[in-house]
Amino acid sequence: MPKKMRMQRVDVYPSSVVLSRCVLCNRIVKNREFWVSTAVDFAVSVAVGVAAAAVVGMFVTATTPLWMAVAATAVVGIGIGYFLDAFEIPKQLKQLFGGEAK
Amino acid sequence: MMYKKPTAVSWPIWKFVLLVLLLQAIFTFLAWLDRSFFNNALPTVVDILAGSGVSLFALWQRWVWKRFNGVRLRLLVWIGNVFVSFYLSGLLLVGAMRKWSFLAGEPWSWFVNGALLIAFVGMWLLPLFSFTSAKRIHKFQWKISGFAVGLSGTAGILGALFGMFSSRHGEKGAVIFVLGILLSLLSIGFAQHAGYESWINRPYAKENANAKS
Repeated sequence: MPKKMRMQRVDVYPSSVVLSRCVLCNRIVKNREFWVSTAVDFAVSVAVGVAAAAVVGMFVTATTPLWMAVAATAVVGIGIGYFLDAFEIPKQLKQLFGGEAK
Repeated sequence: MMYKKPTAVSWPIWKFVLLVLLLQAIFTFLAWLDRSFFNNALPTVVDILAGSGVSLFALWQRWVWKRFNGVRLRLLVWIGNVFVSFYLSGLLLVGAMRKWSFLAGEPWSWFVNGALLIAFVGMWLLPLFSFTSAKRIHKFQWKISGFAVGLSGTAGILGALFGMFSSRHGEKGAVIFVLGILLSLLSIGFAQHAGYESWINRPYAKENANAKS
């Protein structure tokens, strides 16, 4: 015969306390630096991708095989992206929008 | 037979001058970036010459269009087209060779660059020796383009992300390696495409084909 079962005490916290103790939430969801950094990196890469496609589009004719245009866009994108970061443009944008740059 | 007016001729002069200035600006900007990347003055001259080469081509087309007609005109316009294709594919090849020279070092870069050069010349001259093979490779280039379409929207974005994060983490070698592969593929592919297109569009090609059949 088992011993008499006893009710265990369960602490119930309000949701605000739960969220404040959530490590994942504190590091990511409520982290302004993370969101600004991610948004700036994404926006810069999209802008560079569009610019690269525009540059390549000036030189590509209807008879050029498409894989060449795609590869050339990637090459131009890599080049522009590398030098933008080398000149710390994303870092300056992050500082501008209130996220502390790494 | 009606002969199609080249773009460099049909454009008004202001548009033409704008294009030349834009090209020069782009290539000068690339030269400036390139120099800061490789710390070498010679490519600067090559990059600035690249803009001049395209301008020279357009000037040639305009000059020829005013002074010649008939078969001579077709031949001279075709020469201009071959020149600009060879020039642009050569620039891609020089870009690829410089990347491999940077990565492989003195003895090995000779082998890699030698193989690239042989493939480049071979692809340009392939239609002369085996037209069927050239046609087959050209068809293959269009077949793989079907797969590339899926990447067309994201190629620039992926490239930009790769470039940015490589720079951020100090991975200059990775960037040069990927650029070396892409530029090698582009130079050889473009050489094949331009060689094939130049061959089938050469003057007298259609007349010769009709005469034979």
